[in-house]
This record gives sequence, structure tokens and C-alpha cells, in this order.
Amino acid sequence: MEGLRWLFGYIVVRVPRRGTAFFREASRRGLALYGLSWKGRSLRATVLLSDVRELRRVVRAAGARAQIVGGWGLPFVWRRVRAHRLLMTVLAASLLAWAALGETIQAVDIRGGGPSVRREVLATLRTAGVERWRPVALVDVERAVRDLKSLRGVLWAEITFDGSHAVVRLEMAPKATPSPSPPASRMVAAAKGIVRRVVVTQGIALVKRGDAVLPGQVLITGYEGPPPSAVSPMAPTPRAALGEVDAVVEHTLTLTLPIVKTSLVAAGPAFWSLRVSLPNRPPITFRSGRAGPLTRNLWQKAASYRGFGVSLARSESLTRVKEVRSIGELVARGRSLARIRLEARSPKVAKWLGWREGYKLQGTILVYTLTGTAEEDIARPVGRRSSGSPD
Amino acid sequence: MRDPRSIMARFFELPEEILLDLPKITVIGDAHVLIENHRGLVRFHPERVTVETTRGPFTVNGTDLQIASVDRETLSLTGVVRSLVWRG
Repeated sequence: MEGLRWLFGYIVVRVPRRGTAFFREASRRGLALYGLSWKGRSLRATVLLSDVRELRRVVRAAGARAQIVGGWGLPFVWRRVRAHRLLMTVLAASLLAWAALGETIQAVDIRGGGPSVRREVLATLRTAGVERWRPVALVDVERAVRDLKSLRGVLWAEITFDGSHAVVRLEMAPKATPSPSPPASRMVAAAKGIVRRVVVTQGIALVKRGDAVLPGQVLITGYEGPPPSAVSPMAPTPRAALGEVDAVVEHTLTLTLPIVKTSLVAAGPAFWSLRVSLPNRPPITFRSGRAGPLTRNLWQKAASYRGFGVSLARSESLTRVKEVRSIGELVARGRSLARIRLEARSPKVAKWLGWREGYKLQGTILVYTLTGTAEEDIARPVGRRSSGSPD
Repeated sequence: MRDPRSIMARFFELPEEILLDLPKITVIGDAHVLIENHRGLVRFHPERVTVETTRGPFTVNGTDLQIASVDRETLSLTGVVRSLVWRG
């Protein structure tokens, strides 16, 4: 009630004499008085600003005298504020800004639909006028909804406004799930390799561990008996060929790095080291053995060099040096790497190694060729069970 | 004989203060008295407030009595209420 009184404005009056007559008359005339109290011999009361005219009549009729102590409430505040133009301008601008913010779209909230359609939906909404700072009243909602429904995959669309929020609700059509294709009737090798493991879930295995297989070779067949031919036209019913065939498959990686510096260092009687510096990699040092040529032992350091993330477990393969221009060739017994070939084309190295005359030197380039083997599943499904014909 | 309006009010379970034009007095503890349908303020003193009603003057005795609001229908009284007296 006091809040309402403040809103409408009120005055406090003091009636110094004939207070009793005053409140009797006020009560008789129905004048609303608030906070009636005695202050000594005078009566104090609060009267609404709208009842001031009636208050005068009451005072006159009661033969009393009323003094206005003060006025409070919004009308009085307004009267004071009105005198300050700058304050009024700021107030009006704030009100206008508030109204503008409340009546324009400030955010578009898309509910439903995936992130893939979001961009498309936003572009459509923008075209239809649903965008930031657009007055809500100017938005053609029907057109926007129609445009949204014309998008691919949109079943139903609705646009509502929650204040300055445009809420777009979308119902998307369920994605068509591809019909499951019939399982393959054969598994064939996708790469050349040596079979390490065969696991048959359904069908008959045609290879076993240790077999060397070539690409396209049938590994598991779903046919029982001989495949259909002109001699025996009765085609056997194909079944799905399911299984896994792991084989060791060869991989080759070649990396070329420029040599920054090569140096030959005497490391003691009959010991020699070849140090090869590479950019952004630790240097490789090849060390000769006591009696043999450098090629005998240089692989030992190469084996410990992990610049390519490889490691070699054994050294016996040193004897498999094939090319005269190679510093060394190693064959590892590990699973991931079979061979490393280091080719040095530095004239200094070639001369020091005693390579034969006529070897073509091609600058300071070091080529690393890593040939590795990895075990992988090479079985590739071929054919369709429903076709009923061999591949 | 009873007032037929009273009988009707009871029969139809209607508020009697409206049909019979009676004052309705609500007392909240000893701190607040609300008098509805009064006929005017007769006496106002911090220790005694007398209100005219259709059933005669109604007096509230107490200390520090103040009239929170008074208009044509309702009178709201605050303070420490000691006693309520009819025809006091």
C-alpha cells in the first residue's frame, strides 16, 4: 500500500487545532487518511495527492486549519527531475534503448536439427528477416517458417519470440539408414604377404600359416564344394565368408635428408669414425672395427640410431651388403622393420671406403630407405552372397 | 423474533455483515484491529479510539494507538490493544 501511495504521491498535513472535528468530518465525508497520530495537541495525517481538493473541503467544514508538512512520491520526484534537461535526455534515451532492445531480435536460438543444418537454417532465417536488430513486429514469421520447411530434411518448423529471443524449433526427418548389404561370399588378399594367422568365422580357409599370398588370392571362401561351372551347372548355395587373415606385408619409406657436414675422425689405432650431421637430428656416427673395414661395424651405430623411430635387434644381417655404393645394409628380425639401407654419396666417404672407380657422386645427399614389414589384416571381402555367382 | 435477513443469510450461508449491514471487526493479536463497515470516527486518542457502527459506538482501549488508515469503509488501527468495548 505504501508503494502505491508513493506512486500516486502524498502529502503529510498537520492540524494544530480542532483535530477531532477534522477527523470526524473526514470520516463522515469518506476522505482517506493514513498514519493518523497525535503529536502533542496537533493531529498529523497523510493524504493522497488526489484527495487534496477534498481535504480542503473537510478542513473548511471542520473549521480547522491544516498545514502541509511536505510532499513525497513520484509526482514530486518527477517535478524535481523535469527541471534538469540533461537528466531528462539521458532518461529518455535509456528508455528508448530499453524499448528498442526489448522489441528487436537479439538472439536466435535454434532447437532441433544437427550442427550440419544450422548454417543453412541461419542463412534461411536471415533471408526471411529473422536476424539480429530486426524489430520483432517486422518479421514475417509465416514466410520464415515456409522457407524453413522447404529446407531438405526439415519436417516441421516453428518460430516463437520470447522477448528479444527468437526461438526456432525444428523437427528433422529421420535419416534413411542404408539397407544392410549381404555379406561377401569370398575373402581375397588385398596385398602381398606371408600369412601369420587365419581365423575363420564362417566359410572355408584356403590358406594356412606360412603361406605366401599374392593380391587377389582367395583366402576364405563361402562356397562349399566346387564353384559353379559349365560342367556342373548346379550352383552351390553361397554362404558368407567371414574371418581374419593376418599376414606380414612389406612397406617402404624413403626419406631424403641433406648432409650438413661429414667428417672422418681417427678414434685410435685402426679405429675410424664417420660422423654425419643432419639438420634438426642428432648426428650419426659410424665406427670402424679394429681389423675390418668400416662397413663391418658401421651398422652397429646405425642400429642404435633412432632418428626414424626404428630400432634393430640383431646384427647378423651385416653380411647382406649387396651394393657397392651402400655403406651398410641391415636386416632386422623384428616385426616392424626388415631392412635399412644407408646410401652415402659423399666423395670423401666413397674414397675412404675404397669404393670402386667410376662411382657417380651426386652431391652431399644422404638417402635413407627404410623397408619394413608390418603384420596386418589383408583379407578383403569380395562378391555378394545374394548374387549367387562366383567372382 | 429474529430478523428474516439473518435467517436468509444463515440459510444461504451468505456473509451476515453484508446482508445485515453489520460491522466486521478483525483483531490480530493485540497489535492490530481492522474495523470494516464503520459509520465514522468519533474519538481518537492514543489510549482510546471510538468508532460509530450500526450497532452503536465501538471502543478500542489500549496504548500508543494509531490509525494506520481510515476511509469510508475501513479503519485500520495499530498499537497495543487492551480491550474492545461495545457502547463504551
